[in-house]
Order: sequence, then structure tokens, then C-alpha cells
Amino acid sequence: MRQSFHLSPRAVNILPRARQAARPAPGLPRPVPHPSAAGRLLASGADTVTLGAIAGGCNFIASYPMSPSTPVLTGLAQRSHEFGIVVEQAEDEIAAINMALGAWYAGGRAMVTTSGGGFALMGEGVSLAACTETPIVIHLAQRPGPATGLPTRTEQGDLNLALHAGHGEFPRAIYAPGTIEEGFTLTRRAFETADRWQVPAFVLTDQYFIDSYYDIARLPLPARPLPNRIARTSADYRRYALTRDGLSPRGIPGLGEGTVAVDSDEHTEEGYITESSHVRRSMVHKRLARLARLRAEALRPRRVGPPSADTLALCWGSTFHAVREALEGLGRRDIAMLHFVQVYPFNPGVVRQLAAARKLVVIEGNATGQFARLLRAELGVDADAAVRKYDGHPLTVEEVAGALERHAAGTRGKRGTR
Amino acid sequence: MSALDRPGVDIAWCPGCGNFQILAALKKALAELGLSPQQVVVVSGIGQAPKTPQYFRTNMFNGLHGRALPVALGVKAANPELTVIAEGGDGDMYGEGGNHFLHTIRRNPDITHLVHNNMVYGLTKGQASPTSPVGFKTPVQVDGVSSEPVNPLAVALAQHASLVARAFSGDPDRTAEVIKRAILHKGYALVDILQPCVTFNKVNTFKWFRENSYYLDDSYRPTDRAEAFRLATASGKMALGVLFAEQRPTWEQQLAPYRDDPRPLHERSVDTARLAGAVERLRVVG
Repeated sequence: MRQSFHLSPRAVNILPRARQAARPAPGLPRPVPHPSAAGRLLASGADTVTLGAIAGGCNFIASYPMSPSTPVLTGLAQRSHEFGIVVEQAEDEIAAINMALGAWYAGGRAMVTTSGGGFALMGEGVSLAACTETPIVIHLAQRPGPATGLPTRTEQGDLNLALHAGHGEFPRAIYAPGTIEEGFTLTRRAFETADRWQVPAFVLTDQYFIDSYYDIARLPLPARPLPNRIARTSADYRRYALTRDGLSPRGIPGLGEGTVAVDSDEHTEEGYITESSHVRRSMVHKRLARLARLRAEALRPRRVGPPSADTLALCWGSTFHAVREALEGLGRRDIAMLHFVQVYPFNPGVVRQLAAARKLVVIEGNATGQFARLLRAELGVDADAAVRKYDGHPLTVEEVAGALERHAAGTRGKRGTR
Repeated sequence: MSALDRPGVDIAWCPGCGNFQILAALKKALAELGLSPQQVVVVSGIGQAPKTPQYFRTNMFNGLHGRALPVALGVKAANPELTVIAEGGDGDMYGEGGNHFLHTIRRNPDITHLVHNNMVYGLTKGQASPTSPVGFKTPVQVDGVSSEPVNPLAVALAQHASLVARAFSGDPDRTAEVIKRAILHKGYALVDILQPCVTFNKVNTFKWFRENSYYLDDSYRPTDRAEAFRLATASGKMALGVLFAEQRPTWEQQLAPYRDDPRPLHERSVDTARLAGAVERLRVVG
């Protein structure tokens, strides 16, 4: 089978072997590919997130090892000399995100990679990124919680955490790759979003996505590097100069005649501590103003299936292939899918995409329907039915197909089925 | 007015606070080293001491409580040409940020670490700090502190810090000399600066610090770590000056990007041909 995605991920053996068919980065165990994959690229989710980060200009990573996020740290370390990347294993996740913010502040392009428990420790750092308007890219590879949970298994249980981490009110963007290629394109995009809008940008994956290997035809390599959006400062530079869209040119220390003051305290346009109510209001508006821009450029979900379908299976992130293959297997004219590669904020066009359907079934890998609740909170859309899995294993094609058959057979337009 | 001044700045410290003299000492040190505000980054946390970079002209990253050192590491790694100073108080650096203190020393980055040590929490109004003496009574420690105070110099020496010093805010000129030495030192340099808190510490006062400290004399050579450790752990008066210094490779010079290219990260961009090569290495050889 040479077509991509015709089958579920190719059966691969991820145990280390002395001899490996693909030429691996030194020290990393690689799978032994099926002979039919000859001539194609064999990549894991971790590979494409790693390469997408490099494509995004990543030259700094600080992280604390935590399954299943570590392969991205390893992947960048393996390529650190080739691409000139600072790699620092931090003493804890708090240090990791603060190092990354220091790097961005001084002109680097930094990311952290972590999982739920580690990311919980980074919460204050996310808030610091927002207040100082320092870009940050966060790769959050989910595993089942609470606490240590099932450390080597998978879940989509940290959507709420990614949405709400960090005290105070501020915008963010959250991408969730479904295909292995999207690990590349969305991680690169996260760098562009973080830099352009000076906000935290998340790549939300999970153990299943990170550790799965696919053979693919190509990765969409960019012709040019992303622009590094930093400004040479003038003597009267003000880091938080008020502008219409809330964005101030981002100077860095040592580049220009000015000095760059950033502050986790509420601050003036110059970046110094203030208690002024007037300044406070203007800075709140400044930080929140870019949410509209983030919405406008948010990636729209991808629709797969017959145009005539009036039942929509809604899913996000790593469940893409299971849902797509289930729909193909069912072959029904009345069911299509909508897969979200960006889960926050939503593109305003999503409302129209959903309005056309008579029945919405939300499929996700958690117990409480976090994405369904997000749809309701953000768009006022109530799902008619839910398919949820939270036993630590990825959704299977059979599970999705069975559930969709049941729900599609039910009374149309009736709300609230579970 | 010097280039380091911020005219008209409203300073929140209490009259008589030791921070004023530390601010003066730091500005004097920077001026005498000929460092411009553009070349220096002061990273600080939260507390009264971390407000210091708010009050003079410099690049400033005033971050979270306890987290100045990791931010400073990120700054230094992104641009090793910058003079990076991490500044805060005893609660900020030895309490909330204690883990970063241990691990930053291990790395030996070329960062100057200034810790204003007044043995009390000032910003939060008078609770015990990690360096408060046993028996110190506060509105929270109503029976007096029972934990042993952190000995920052001994900890730094145990972790093999490449420069360890102590200063006293009451002597801004001598403090400026120690800070200059720390900035010129290529590697991690701790300067623990004793400082009275006129409002919340009625035990460790200006007079108390004066009577309980002494300067190492000019014949002292800070090359013997064991001797420095003996001084740091000795009971009685506290030694002031540079207790220990030695040259070792710095953290940042060993980082992958700087092995054969001194340019800071902002002057670089990804080599797309090389990226294509890295992708090509994923190709399965038939």
C-alpha cells in the first residue's frame, strides 16, 4: 500500500535495532520500516514536531524530560550542532519556561516541550509570557492524568489545561496536529504566531501522535526562513508603545540605541511598574486586542466526506485518522467529518460550517467532553452526541465506526444524547 | 546626570533602606567599567530588591518571584555579548528560587548574581526569610524561627561556584569594587550583599551588620576553596570581600551554537537547504 493514510499507521517495530534501514540521527532508536515504505519518508509525530520547530527558526529549547514529550527535546538535541540550537535540560519545568522567555527576550526563538504535570508547573511562566508580551512556543504532549496517571499511554485530557493555564486574562493560540505532516506545518506556524502576535502558542499533541510513525511522500519544506520580527530600537524606545492593534515593535537588548524594559508587574508603555488605573485599562485592552486578529487568521477545520452529509463528526488533534478511516469504512452519504487543527481561538467561519449540519457528534479522547464544552462556550453550539475514550488507548476505527452508526441512526436533531 | 540615571523616577523603598546604597554601588560599578545601559541586562524577580533595575537605565527583565536566574540563563544563551546580572533578595533567590540557585552554579554561566540579603521579607511585610536567624520572631513565626538559616556562601562553595563574595550595603564604594570584580569575572559570580531592613528587621540592623562583619585583608588570596569554605562556615563575624575565585569554561561558550560561530542568535536564521537534508535523512532506503 503506497497511498498515505489508506490504512491505520503502518505496523512498525519501535524497538531499537543494531541495523536500521533509514539513516537515523545518532542515538535515537528508529523503527524498521515495512518494505512497501521504500523511498518514502518515515517519520514519527516527534520527528515532524522537531523539524517543524527547526523550520520555524527554533534555536533554543529548555525542557525537563517527561514522557511522552521528551522525543522532541532529544530530536532537537540530536540536531543541535547541525542547526545551532541551544539545548538545555533544565532543573525543573519552571526553569525551562523561564529560560525560554529569557531567550526570546534577547533575540532567540525558543520552545519548551512537556506533558501535563510539567506543564502545570509552567503555568505562571505562561502568564509571564502574556504580561511581558514575550513570544513562547509550548509543545504539550498529553498523557492521561490526573497526577502521574498513565505515563506511557494517551489521552486528549489537557485541552482545558492548555486553554486556561496561567493566571489573569490574555490571548493564546492552540494548534492540534492530526496528520503527521501537520506536526511539521503547525509547529512552524506556532513559531510564526508566537512571534507575530507576541503571545503563547501551543502545539497540543499526545502520546499516540508523538510515538506513531507514518510513511509519507514529503514534508512541505518552506522556501525561506520565517522573518525574525525584532525591531532595532531608537533612544526613546518604549517596549509597550500603544498601537491600534495592540502590537508594539519588539526590541531586544543590545540592538539599537534604546533599552528594553519588560515587566511582570503591570507596566507603563516604557515597561516600568505602575499602579495607574488608566494605564492598567489601556494595557488590558492592548493585550486582549490581538485576540480578534488571532481569530481572523485561525485555521479552519478540514471537512472530509460527502458534501450532502447532514451529520458531522467533530474531532480534533490525533483522532483524525481513526475518524477518517471509520467514515471511509462506513461509506455513508449522510456522515462527514470536521477535523480541527486549531482548537483555540476558532475562526469565525466555523459557525457556518457547523450550522449546515443537522446533527453534531463530538469525538474526543477524554471523559468529560472538553472540546464539546469549548464549542458551547465559544460558539454557543451544543453537540447532539458524544464519543469519548479515556482508558489510555487511542480511539480505534471500529469504535468510531460503531458509535457513528448508532448515533446517525438515532433521531435527527434530538439534542443531548450520550 | 549619567547615562544610567532615570530622571524623576519614583522610588518605593523606605527612607534609610539599604537598597539605596546597593543601587548606588551597582551604578558606580557599571559606570566605572564603562558599560552602557544598552550592553547590560538586569534580570530580577519580585520583592523590594528586584525593583532595583526599575530605578536606573538599563535593559530590564523584571520577571517572576524566584525565577530571575533561569531568565538570565536564557538571555545569556541568546546573546553572550550582553553583560547579564541577576538581582534579587534572599527570599527571591534562596527561597522561591533555591533550586535555580543550586543548578545555575553548576552550569557556570557568565552571570553576576547579586543577592540583597536583609534576612527578612520586606515586600510582604516582615515574615522570616531563608536567612533569618534562629529565634527571629515575626507575625508568622510567632515562636521564633526554628529552621537553620541558609548559608548562601557555603552552598555556593559546595557547588563549586567560580566566584563567591560578600559585601555590605553600608560601604557602597567597597561594594562597588566587589560588584566590578564579579562582573569582570568570566563565569558565575555570587555577591551576597548584607543589607539592613529598617522597617521589618530590628535585630540585624545597620549597627549589627557593622559589628558582625569584617573585611578580608589585602593579603587574602581567594584561591583555596577549603579555606573559603572555612571562612563561610565560621561562627562569629562574617567575612566581607571575595572569598573564592577561579577560572573555568563558561556554560554559554560550550553551547552548540557558539562552538564555531560567535554570533548571537538574533543574527541567525535556519538554513533551509540543511533542513531539506535533515528531512531527507528520514527517507527509507529501498
